[in-house]
Amino acid sequence: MGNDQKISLHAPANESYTRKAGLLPEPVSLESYRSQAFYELERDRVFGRSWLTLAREEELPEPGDYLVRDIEVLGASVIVARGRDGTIRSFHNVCSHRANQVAWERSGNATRLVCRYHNWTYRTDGRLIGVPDEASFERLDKAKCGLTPIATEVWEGFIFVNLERNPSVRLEEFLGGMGDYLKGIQYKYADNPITIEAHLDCNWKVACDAFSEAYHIPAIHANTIGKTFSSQDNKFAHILGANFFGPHRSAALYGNPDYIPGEEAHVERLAYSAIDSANVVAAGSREEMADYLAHPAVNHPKAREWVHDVHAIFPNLHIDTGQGGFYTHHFWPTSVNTTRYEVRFYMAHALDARARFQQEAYLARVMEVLLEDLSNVKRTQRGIDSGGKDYMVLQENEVMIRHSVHHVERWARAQTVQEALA
Amino acid sequence: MNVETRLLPPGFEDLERFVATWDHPDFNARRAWRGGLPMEDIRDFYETMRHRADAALTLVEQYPFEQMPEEIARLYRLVLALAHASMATEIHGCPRAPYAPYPDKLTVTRSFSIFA
Repeated sequence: MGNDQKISLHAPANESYTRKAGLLPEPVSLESYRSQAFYELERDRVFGRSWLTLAREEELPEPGDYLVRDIEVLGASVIVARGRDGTIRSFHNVCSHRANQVAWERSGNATRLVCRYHNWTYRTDGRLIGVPDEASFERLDKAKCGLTPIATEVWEGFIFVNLERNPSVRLEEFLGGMGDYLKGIQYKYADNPITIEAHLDCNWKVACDAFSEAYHIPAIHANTIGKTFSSQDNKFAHILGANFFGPHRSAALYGNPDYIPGEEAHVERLAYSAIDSANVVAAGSREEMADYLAHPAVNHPKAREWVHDVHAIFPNLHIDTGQGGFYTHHFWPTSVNTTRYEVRFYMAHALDARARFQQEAYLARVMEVLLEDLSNVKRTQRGIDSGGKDYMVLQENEVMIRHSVHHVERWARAQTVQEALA
Repeated sequence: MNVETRLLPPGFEDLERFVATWDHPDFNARRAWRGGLPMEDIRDFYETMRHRADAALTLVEQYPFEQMPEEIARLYRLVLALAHASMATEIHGCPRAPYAPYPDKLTVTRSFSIFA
């Protein structure tokens, strides 16, 4: 029986993933990947109106801890700070005096944030408390001159911000069913994000798409992970299942349950001998993971041949839940054809030399995989920009891409967020 | 060789010829360095080191990370470098991923808390 006779090995019997997503198997326009006009709509209507994640709460463990994160597409520099009262708040990193940048360090711990230009001084709850030569300001109302707050909500440890002055919806409504679906996942090792960054020569969606399907794995990743993400039973890495919640979506990816390193893979065998982990891209041991793996959204099909899930929070966050823990990807637009990409692998603090060696081997392989993906995105963008094609054709197992583009376009067209979410 | 000039612990003197090329202070450097080496150098290190790595780890794991003498730490960094060499020998069959630029644009901006 050939794969060409079936839509998917794993789709529900009478339903395709595409139709489950409420969509049709039509060609998808490439315009949103190359149009400056569309980029500006994304700026205002997608990124300007969505709840975006900037950090996790573990990055701000103590009162006074702050960090500065950029949202380039919105031209925003954002201070995220844990106040003395323990509350996490965000602000535009802009001084009320003459709009200079207040925090110049990327992170720190401070009781006061001081703008170096004229030493205007703010508390970490945003309040302006110090103005040198205050008497020379006629009619200065300090109470109205705090740092401009940005709507901030923390969900499952993820710090979300919304750059609308008055957010159209609260975070709970924005997440909708996805929030319920993912609620309660144990985010293991959340205090230790090994972070990798890259500046990419592609539209943010090209980068996002590269991590939204497994179809490419047997091809471009043949040497690195081809044998772990596909097998004779599933040559094309068909996904195990997919769920859709408004603009958000989730897919479970296939993993070869019988993979063992080849005879010649001496170092791979050495690295994985000391720790019983289930796949070359897993970093934690099986015992630690039992509760986490029991969550309904982690390996939703509860398949033996599962490797990891991609949970995509609109517009630009992927939370991947794998066998050894979770990792996150962010795709930040910096122009119509450039992206700042971040991936964070949350890993245990290694307790011994063998565990730390396993982590080195794991991360080394991860970097090779990322390199295979990310060195290719420039080629894709060049092809898109050439005008040689106006559409892409997507298969069933690329449904995450189809769903993503559909909802980005929907938000770009929608006059209101309510309309976009309807 | 007296104790003061010894680079590696006793029993691992044969690996000292690799220190200049393969001992680097962090993950980014270990990875970048491997990608720029000729395959025969990578294979020479890999074929030697893979037979010594288990014994090296047995020695290194007797020391807490924060109290490692320099020669033990240096030996451990060679073991960590072996992970990178194996990317070339066990995966690609060449020093780095085909069709990828070198140097590439990926960098670890927040590394491991131990032996970054």
